Amino acid sequence: MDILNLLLQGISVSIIPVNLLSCTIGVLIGTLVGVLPGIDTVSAIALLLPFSYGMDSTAALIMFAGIYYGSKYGGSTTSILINVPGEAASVVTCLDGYPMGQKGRAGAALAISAIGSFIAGTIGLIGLTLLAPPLAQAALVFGPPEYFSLALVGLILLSRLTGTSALKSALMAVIGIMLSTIGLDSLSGISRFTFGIDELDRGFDLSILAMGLFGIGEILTAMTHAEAKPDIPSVKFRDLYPTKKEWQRSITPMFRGGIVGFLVGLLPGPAATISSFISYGLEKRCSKHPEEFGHGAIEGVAGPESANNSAISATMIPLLSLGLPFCGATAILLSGFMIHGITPGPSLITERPELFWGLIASMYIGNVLLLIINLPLIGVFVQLLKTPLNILMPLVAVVTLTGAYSINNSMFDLIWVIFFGILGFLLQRVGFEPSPLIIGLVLGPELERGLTQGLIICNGSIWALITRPITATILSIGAVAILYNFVTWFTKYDNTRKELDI
Amino acid sequence: MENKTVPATSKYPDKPITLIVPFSVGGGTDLVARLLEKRALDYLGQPLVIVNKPGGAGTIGWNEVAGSSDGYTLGMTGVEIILQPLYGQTKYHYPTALDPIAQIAELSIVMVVQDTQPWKDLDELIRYATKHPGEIKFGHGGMGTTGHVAGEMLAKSADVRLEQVPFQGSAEATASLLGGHIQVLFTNPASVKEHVKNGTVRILAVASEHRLKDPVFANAPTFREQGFDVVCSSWHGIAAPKDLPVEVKDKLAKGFEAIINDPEFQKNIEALGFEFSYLGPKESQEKWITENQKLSKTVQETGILDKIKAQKK
Amino acid sequence: MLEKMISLLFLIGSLTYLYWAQEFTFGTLGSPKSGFLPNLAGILALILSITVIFRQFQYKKSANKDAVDWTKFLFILIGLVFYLMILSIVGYFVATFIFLFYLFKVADTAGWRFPLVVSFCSSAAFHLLFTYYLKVALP
Repeated sequence: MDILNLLLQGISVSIIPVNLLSCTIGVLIGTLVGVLPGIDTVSAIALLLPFSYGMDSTAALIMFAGIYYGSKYGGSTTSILINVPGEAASVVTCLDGYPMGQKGRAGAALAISAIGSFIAGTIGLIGLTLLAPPLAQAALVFGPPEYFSLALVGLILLSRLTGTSALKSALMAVIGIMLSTIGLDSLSGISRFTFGIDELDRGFDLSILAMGLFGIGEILTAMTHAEAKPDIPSVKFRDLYPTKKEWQRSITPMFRGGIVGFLVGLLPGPAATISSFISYGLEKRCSKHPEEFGHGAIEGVAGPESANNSAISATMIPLLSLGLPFCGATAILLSGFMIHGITPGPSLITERPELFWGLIASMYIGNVLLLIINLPLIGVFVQLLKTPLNILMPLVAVVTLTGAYSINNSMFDLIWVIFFGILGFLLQRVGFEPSPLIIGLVLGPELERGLTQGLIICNGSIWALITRPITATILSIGAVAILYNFVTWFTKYDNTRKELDI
Repeated sequence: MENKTVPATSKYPDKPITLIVPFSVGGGTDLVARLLEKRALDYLGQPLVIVNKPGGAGTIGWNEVAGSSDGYTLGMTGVEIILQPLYGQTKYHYPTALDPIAQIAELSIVMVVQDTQPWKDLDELIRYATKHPGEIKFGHGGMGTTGHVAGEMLAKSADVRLEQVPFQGSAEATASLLGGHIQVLFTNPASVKEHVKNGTVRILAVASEHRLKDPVFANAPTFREQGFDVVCSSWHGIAAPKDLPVEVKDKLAKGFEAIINDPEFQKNIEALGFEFSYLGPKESQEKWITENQKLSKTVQETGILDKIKAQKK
Repeated sequence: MLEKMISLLFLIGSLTYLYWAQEFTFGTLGSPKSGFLPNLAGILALILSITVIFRQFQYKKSANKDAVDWTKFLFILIGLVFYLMILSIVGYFVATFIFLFYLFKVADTAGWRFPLVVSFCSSAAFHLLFTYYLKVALP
């Protein structure tokens, strides 16, 4: 009851006009940032920081937070429409969102992703409202050894999201890990595989890889079709929104995604991205028709898009109650707080309750605003698909390249985007899926860091590391899942699979 | 940027000046640069254009600054301009290839433990570590960073064995401390300030010459006061490529001096958790030279250099 | 054919990677050094790519994807490379304009006036959007 009162107080703070206005501006900018590939939350907030000095601190923070969670709404748009992930957290949405668009269900995919984002974002917020301090403490139990086991199990279970061949997927994941080792390594202080080339020191940016493999790859595929591609079926207004069946299939994944995202969001690392992959893998395993995944299964959009939004809410927990930013976006939010003389941490809730609860209340309101903004936009976005391919694709190419350049202001990155674009195009033609590569790139560094740090913490004993209670639990869950996979593989599909598994 | 002609000094600056931030958008250095950008037009006569060139612990951006000579490309600096050339081959030797314009703020390092740990002060911790060599593990924000250097300096100065755990950034390291996975943390004051205030984290020592001004840390003694020679800090500053015409350099130095000493700017720097500390070109240059001598000795004596070298065959 | 070439590329890639990984110290299981993960990943990639190639020879089944217009592919590639080369010379606006127009023609857009107008307007719009609103320092 107490919390409800505080929240009501917060709502009264967040609905004064100036705060409501900043919230609206924030989520609008966020949506734009999400839609544009390459432009990320961090740079958008950094750009606005100097202008926020004159603003009231609560209003400024409400706006920054709005940009942050708003961007995850828009991220799916370009994934679904043109196969270019607008945000790293929407990479996995390409897998099923884009095929849905090709079948004329882009509207449904966009609507489901918006509604899923809303539902899961709200789930995350409820968690944030009720449990912030205890959850933040609980998450601290996870140390490097636990991250190591999570990354290991994640790599094994998630490397095979789509596609037919486990072998090829595993190879792609390992290549992703190999790519992740390139660059200056913070663990050892040396550069690896850089051959004295400055620009390689930075390592491979996830967005660069995703924009190349998916975005440019798709542009090449679409533009080089020898026969004219069948037109995307034109969409009647009635068909713009999900059918009853699509609804029924999406609702459970939304809630599941919301919970998964929330839990992942409490831990360090690119939580929104990782949670979307986990949710995808989970949905595929839970689904009654896993064979549809990769060909436009609505669950593959609903789950991940929900997960990344509730992960966003969850990343606010360590930030607000411990003052710890676990990813780039919350780090810049922290700077936003500090510029206004507020240091988030254990005492924020007691010292500045009006700010804390006002911010949280504004996130509820922002979520509703985002839904209101996004649903009508779907119609507009779907119209975009009516643009003939020969006009649309060159424009997409330019947007993708410009976005890629803006990440590090680097021409070198553009060369990589194009390189990975060609690779993505060729891989797709020969039945290699690029998504495990992304997983390897994300989880590889987590694996290496967790192992190295964990072993120092456990005095160099691998046995001590893997028998820590949580580590052991996670690893055994992984082992059981692998065993289960093997059993089904041997019994059910023995003969049919062999032929497919080239 | 390839323009090698020397600018007409009397008219300088007659176009926007590029300020290269060799770290990511939103990091500490970037925020300081953006604070500078806000007032640049008033004091420099031209706007600053901030370009982030992250990667390679700053080296990518500094290479670009060092390679330019038109006076319209400046860069933000930190202690890495001295440390990176010590650790391995860099394209330029930055302390000599760059010319400091100003120092803006200082970033100290503090040593903290969780409040549930038994050690009330540095002395007790060192005594424990002497009896149990290698049992105490200290975290820091990355191999070869100031936190790491400070930790190894303590280990050497107290002649104890402390195991180092490298993390990626101070947030992850702080989380590991709060979760009890590591016992000691060397980090910047801002990232643990709230926890010190709240009593969840105890501060044992400060790795700077003087005590910190911030009231939360004012009671914490320095390492020197407790008999250990551990002084290690970074800074935020601005540098230009070597060999700019004197008039250009003077104009830049004057302009930035005015921006930095603006009370509003100073207030904002402190709000971000940095110790405001302005140094002019001359003092900065002297600092670079002494720091370079000191640190090159330190990284050798503490074995940091060997540790990094051991990663490679 | 393409399939085998790609797999071979991965095989060569992993071998090269593994070769360069020898530069770094492996460490031990108790104390892994910078060469630990690279060596393991390299060996795993090597094994996997050999297995993939082996199976490709074992089962002669070619993926029947629809045909690709390789001439177009080549032209797009030339366009992309050209774009990168002129980007820092003539600046973002002009380069994007030429690039867009070129791609429109490669994609068989009929007429001259329409693609010219579209490429002019869109490159101007992108230029405005990215440089002024998003403050990206474009070349």
